[in-house]
Amino acid sequence: METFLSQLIFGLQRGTIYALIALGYTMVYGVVRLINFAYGEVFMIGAFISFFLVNAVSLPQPILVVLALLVPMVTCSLLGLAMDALAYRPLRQKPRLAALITAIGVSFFLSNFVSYSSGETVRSSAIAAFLLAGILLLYVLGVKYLNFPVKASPNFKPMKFVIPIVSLVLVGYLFWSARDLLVELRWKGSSFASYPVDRLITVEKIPLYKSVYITNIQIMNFLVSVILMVVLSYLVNRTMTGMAMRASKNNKDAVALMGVNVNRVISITFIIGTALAGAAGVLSAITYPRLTAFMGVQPGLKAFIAAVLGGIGSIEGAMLGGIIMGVAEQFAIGLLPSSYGPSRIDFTPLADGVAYAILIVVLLLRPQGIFGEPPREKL
Amino acid sequence: MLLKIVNLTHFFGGLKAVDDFNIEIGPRQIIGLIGPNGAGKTTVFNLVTGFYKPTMGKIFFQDEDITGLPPHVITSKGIVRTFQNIRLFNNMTVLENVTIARHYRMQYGITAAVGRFPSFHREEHEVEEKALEYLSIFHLDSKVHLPAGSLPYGQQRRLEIARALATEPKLLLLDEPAAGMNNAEALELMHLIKKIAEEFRLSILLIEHQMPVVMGIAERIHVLDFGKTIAVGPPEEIKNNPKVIEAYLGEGALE
Amino acid sequence: MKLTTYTILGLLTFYALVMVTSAVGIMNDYLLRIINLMMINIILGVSLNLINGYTGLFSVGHAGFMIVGGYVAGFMTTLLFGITKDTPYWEALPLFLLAIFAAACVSALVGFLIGLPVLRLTDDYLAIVTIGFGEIIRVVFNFITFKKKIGNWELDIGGPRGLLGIPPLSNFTIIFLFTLFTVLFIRNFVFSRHGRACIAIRENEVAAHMMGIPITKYKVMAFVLGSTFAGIGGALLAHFIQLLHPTMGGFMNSVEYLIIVYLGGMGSISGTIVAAVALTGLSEFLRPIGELRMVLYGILLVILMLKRPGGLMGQREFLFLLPERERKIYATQNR
Ligand SMILES: Nc1ncnc2c1ncn2[C@@H]1O[C@H](COP(=O)(O)OP(=O)(O)O)[C@@H](O)[C@H]1O
Ligand SMILES: [Mg+2]
Repeated sequence: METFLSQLIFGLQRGTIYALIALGYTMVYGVVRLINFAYGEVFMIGAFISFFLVNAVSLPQPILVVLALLVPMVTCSLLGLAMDALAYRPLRQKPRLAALITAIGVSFFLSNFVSYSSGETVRSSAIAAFLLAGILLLYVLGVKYLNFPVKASPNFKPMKFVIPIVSLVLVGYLFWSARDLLVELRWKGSSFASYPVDRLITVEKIPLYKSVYITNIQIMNFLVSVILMVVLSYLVNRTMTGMAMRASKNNKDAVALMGVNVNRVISITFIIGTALAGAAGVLSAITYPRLTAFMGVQPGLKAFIAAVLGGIGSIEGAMLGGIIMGVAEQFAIGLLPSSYGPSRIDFTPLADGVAYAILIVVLLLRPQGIFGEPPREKL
Repeated sequence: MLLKIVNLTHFFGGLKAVDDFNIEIGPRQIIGLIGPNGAGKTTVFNLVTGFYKPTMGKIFFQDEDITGLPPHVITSKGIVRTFQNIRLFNNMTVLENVTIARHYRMQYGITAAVGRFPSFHREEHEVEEKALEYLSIFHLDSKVHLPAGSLPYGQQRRLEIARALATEPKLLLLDEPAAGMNNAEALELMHLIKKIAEEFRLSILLIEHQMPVVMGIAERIHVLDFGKTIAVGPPEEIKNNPKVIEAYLGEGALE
Repeated sequence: MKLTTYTILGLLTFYALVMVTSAVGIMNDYLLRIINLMMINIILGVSLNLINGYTGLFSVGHAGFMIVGGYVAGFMTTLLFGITKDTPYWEALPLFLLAIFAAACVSALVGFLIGLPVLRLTDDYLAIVTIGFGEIIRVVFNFITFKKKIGNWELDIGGPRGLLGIPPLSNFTIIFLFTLFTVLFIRNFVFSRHGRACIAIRENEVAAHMMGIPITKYKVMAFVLGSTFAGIGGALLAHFIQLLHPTMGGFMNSVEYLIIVYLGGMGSISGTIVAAVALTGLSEFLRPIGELRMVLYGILLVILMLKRPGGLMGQREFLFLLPERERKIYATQNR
């Protein structure tokens, strides 16, 4: 009983992290039918940004906790916007396969970029971002006032360039300041970094029942996840954008006919999904403080499976699927015989396979998942 | 009886798209299926050809129950259709589009294909001859090696019918074959359809949105509205049926 | 003279040239190694193209099938038959061929077991399941570390350390012949009624179904055939680089094969060959910059999809690679 309870607490903690990432998958899939494989990488980048931030500034713990969570969320949603605008939006009318391949390319790029990066590459990236922002600015000014290199067409809107330029400058600044820190930490992405948890929060164990306890980190984890999910439900169910989002799921053309800007809805979906993945990255970093460039691959895949389990496209499904996945995995770790047991063979590595076993069972028994509707093509 | 449909009903969620549909088609008959947009005509085709499984009802073909069989099996029994929105294999040549239709009549296996056995060469030669025959009926023989997607619209429509015929069906289902054509083109197509029905001894079930087009060739017309059959009879009777006129009111398709 | 004759002459010349130059010592080992790797990548690329390019499926687990083949063959030669570096080649060769055959069979079986349930669903599922498959392979091969004595040999495929000491049985001749066999097999398959059925499914699944093509059967067939050749490629690779590691079956490696297919052109054998040769050469050339290569691959994939979704060759083929009948048709049209 006691082991059961404490395993359950750990499992729920694992599960909320999966659920947060799964929400991103499911929302984007619901609206554009795209599996954005890069959520695992957004998760990883969220963790790293929080890592830089916590190392770089010294502030009182409570303020730092809030910042360590919010800053990565905002940066990740910018990243999400950029991904959508650069890689996915141009492909919206193309076969879905093209977008899927692009998604794999993006995810491959992000993880390998972080793995490759060190102080030096981060500085080069900062310079590249500044240069790009400068070129864009010169281009806009040139076209507007000098008709160079091309003549300004009547519907040329310089304001459209403000957001890209500002975000490039911000990213450049972020990279530039991270660079000194990285050199100081002698950081090289392909090895691992330890998240300085003690700067954020002093770990305390709170006894619950006999030997069962819960840590304040776990409490924070649950609180944050619940708050985020409540906010999300509010957004999706109570706001105009949320309604447009749900309507787009069924019929994009009809929604567009009603005067809703579908591209804007999609962008907002990306922003929310990536912000949640970023938050999941931070929560995960606090719980399992070992960060690597490829730390997002496994949670990303498993969260996707959680979304499939819950019924891809369904928001409640993603939450439930994530929780089931986390709890199942935790119990597998707890129950599989380890090398200390009588068999003397360590079976715990197999716990990593639980997610995939779940996937197989779901596909065989109920491919549309718990809350999903069976797919049908309109002829 | 070639095709017999009894009490066919189909739901999409809460929407009753087809409601107690019944029809009998004998050999060498041309039957029309008309009705305003969204009446459920295409859904009937999707049910007969096995793309959807009906919620209720039975479909018999040559006295055999074919309800719920997958599309490729239904094709091999002798029912084939065209699509309302053209579905060609755009990047394949016109000739290849038609040879695909002969696929299930060909015999040679993978070993023969990979080893280029005599059976491979013989059958491939035969299928090419056969496909060219069908293409020449539809005056497409000068286009055989062009990608199907590069043909103009009218020719794509004709290619789709040629491809369907090449499966050698007994019953051909045509879903708005004249959509997007002007009146003269539509009438010409109807003549062609009538001619091939005679030549190949086919029965045809023809969906058409514009009534005047079917009037000329169908011996009997079924009218659907909101999934329900509101009238059945010869064209003259249908034309003057007040229920039909009401269903079409505001659609402007009667003039 | 006919083009076919020239093609055969060309292939013979290539083979003779490599054999002679390496016997005389002009060809150095490094260059020969790259040529061999190029050919193995051609096998893997062309077989993936059958699945993703011609049939329009989306398998992301090609490296998984490759490594299954590799482990099966490596296990047989190294542990079952006890072949070492010093075993006389003519003694080892029949056993090696047997091992390759077994590898092909096991990969085919695994492909069938995965393909049958999954290919009945919509296309997205194959992507996620094949990724998952690569991970399961990794977990399983990582796990089998324990030593177990059965009769007089030990079951130990190395676990996380990998399978080491595989005898170097893949030489230029073997790899050359298998590459030739693979390309010819898949070409003849593609230009037959079976290949046409696969392409029709890619072009329009609903219409293909209506034209009497059993689509699940053909999807499974293409997937199993592609996976089989991946297994053969894996067996050759294992006996060429002489080691196997569980992570080789993962997502990262699969992406390299995806790039070969999409760079060359979905539905073009010629394109895949060009891309396999170019990318193998390029990655040797880029070896000094190490991991940056992977970063570039990611960008390459995105840019390719945005700017040139048809790849280098689109769906065109070199004339000399086509069967004679198609060659005549190609000559009359300007595609
Ligand atoms: N796959 C589907 N899912 C949900 N509703 C559908 C589907 N296909 C058709 N419908 C609905 O069923 C009704 C009949 O459609 P359809 O058979 O295409 O009409 P018709 O061909 O007569 O114009 C319409 O209201 C349509 O919106
Ligand atoms: Mg219709």
